[in-house]
Amino acid sequence: MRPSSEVATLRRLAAGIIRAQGNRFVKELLRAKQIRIGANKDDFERNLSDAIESGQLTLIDVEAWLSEVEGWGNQHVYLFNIAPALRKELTRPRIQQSVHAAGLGKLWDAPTVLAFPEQRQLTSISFNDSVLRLVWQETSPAWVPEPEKNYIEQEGLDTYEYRAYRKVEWRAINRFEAHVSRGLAALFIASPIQGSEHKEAVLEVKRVLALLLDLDRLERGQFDIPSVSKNLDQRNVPTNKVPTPLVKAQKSRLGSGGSYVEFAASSADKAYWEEPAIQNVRDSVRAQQLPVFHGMEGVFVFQNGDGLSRPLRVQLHGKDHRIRLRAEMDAGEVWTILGKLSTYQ
Amino acid sequence: MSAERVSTSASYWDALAREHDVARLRMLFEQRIGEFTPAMLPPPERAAIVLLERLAADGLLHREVREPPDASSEEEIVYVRKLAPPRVVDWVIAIHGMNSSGEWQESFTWQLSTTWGRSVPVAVYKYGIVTAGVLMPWRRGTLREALRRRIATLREEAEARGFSGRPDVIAHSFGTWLLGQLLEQELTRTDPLAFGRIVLTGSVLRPDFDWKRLKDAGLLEDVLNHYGTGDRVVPLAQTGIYDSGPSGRRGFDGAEVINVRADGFGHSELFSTNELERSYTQYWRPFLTLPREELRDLPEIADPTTRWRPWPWPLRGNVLGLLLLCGLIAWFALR
Repeated sequence: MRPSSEVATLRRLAAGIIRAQGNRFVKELLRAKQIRIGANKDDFERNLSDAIESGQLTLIDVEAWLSEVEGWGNQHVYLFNIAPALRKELTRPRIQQSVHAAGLGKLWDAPTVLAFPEQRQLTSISFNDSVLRLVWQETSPAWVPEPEKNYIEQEGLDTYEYRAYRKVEWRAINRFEAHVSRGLAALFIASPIQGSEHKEAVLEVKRVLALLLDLDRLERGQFDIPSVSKNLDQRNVPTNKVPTPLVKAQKSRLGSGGSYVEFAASSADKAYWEEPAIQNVRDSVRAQQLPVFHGMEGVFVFQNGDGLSRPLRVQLHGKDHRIRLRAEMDAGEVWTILGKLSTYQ
Repeated sequence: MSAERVSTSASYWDALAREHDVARLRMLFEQRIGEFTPAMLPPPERAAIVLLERLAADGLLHREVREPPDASSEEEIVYVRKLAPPRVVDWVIAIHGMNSSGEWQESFTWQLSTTWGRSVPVAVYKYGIVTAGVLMPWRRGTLREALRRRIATLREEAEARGFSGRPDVIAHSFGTWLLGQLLEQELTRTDPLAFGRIVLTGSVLRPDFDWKRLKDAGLLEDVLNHYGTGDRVVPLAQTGIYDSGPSGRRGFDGAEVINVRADGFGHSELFSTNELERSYTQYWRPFLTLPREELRDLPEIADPTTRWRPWPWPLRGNVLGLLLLCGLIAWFALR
């Protein structure tokens, strides 16, 4: 018999998860546990709640699933190469020692599934399978309309309509992961770029990282996104050798000095070079001319195949060396995309 | 805006490289990029800012605060370099020399079409292998007129296809002489052919050739004479061609031509497999594209230190003919 607190926790998680995660991932969870799926988010939530009540879905199931999908995709990413000298610093004993020396020992290997802090808070630091992970969580309330609970009341000559919204909680997650064996590290920020919150979140992550590793060395390995963006564009312009590239550039803005030229398709599903006249113009920029350009901005769609089961859109912002992942993704998809980007440096 | 220094020396960059990662900034400078932001340099951003500030302090860049384009954006700091815009190359004519079918024209055309990016058409003018013909004034005149007709046709065709600019020219050896004579003839025409910039190699034009008169008449913009000090062919030109001289070995007199010296280079060495790319990328292409005020920044510029003196007129263009005549007489006398 499960404790009622676990059921309550699971119900709380379920409500938030369904609102925050893409339908695709919720369906996958339900399908994997052989729970009836349904047609929309309301169906998912009802079926998920029933499965929790009946014990068909346990906290362990949800925890494993969340680690793969919660806080992945729909975020901003800053990517770093881990220099060989830094790799030597990144071992479990050394990091564990630094964590304790920094007074963060209680966060070492801490589970995150039950944490719902009101303010952004570092909730876990771990180092497993040569991956250093730091997770910050923040509970964000959201209000979901519940029209069946709406009602109308008459007071004297006036009519009042009461519309019901149910409070659900989902968690905004910022994280830093260093995949030592792959030589890649990434800082993931959920906050929107506008306003001060995003910058503050980045500074907070860097403040903690400085306690654990050589931050200056890490920053010197930051991905040069303007180069990645222009290379991604250039290497995926069709040629008679590769007539259908695996990456479609929906938009690419190439800057040089104080001017720029932008190639863009009006449709989000199309590459700009799919119009022959535009491709003719684009062809005049050959790889040899590329050094004088920098990729100011680009929107690229990685087609399915080569490790991806569906097309995924990535936006690159040269000015602040930032990657924007638009779609809800799982951890595997995110790291596949980041791995692909690393080949365009 | 205060005036910035435009050019930088290699030693300046070498000194800077001891403290900063300057490779990309240096490349962008050499490519005449006019505006810089930290995002154009390798991250981290603060290192890029320190480097740009250093160049601003050294007078190479001017720091400007740019107003945000809209209310949601922030103002941006940019580092600006005051440069004249580059010159546009519209189309090019390549003219070969005597005793050659001009194999270099093919390599040159390939260089130009593969490195420019956009389409720069090259009209390759061939007049066949001419050896003894260059000694005969009437034959030289025929060749000059044929060249004129061909260029006039090309001009019409180019205009019809949207190339409305003047053609630039690269000419070698006897081709330089034909071009020089053609230009002098154009002074007398009512609808003269006019050219952009001219690159001469292995030139057999007189070193005191009057380029100023042609420039003043608007028949051309500028001339680069790339001469080889080891050229053994051009000094012989005077022996067979009356109005010629060794400008391809010692340069042109006066200030009208940019004389670029290639130490020890022979008559066609600039076009050799080993040298063509270097000649093109380091000298000819910059010459064709740099704004006029920066042409004097080209490397290896070396003007003659003494004025050229032609041979006495009875010898000019007649020595080879006389020798041949003497040879023929001797042959008839001895048979």
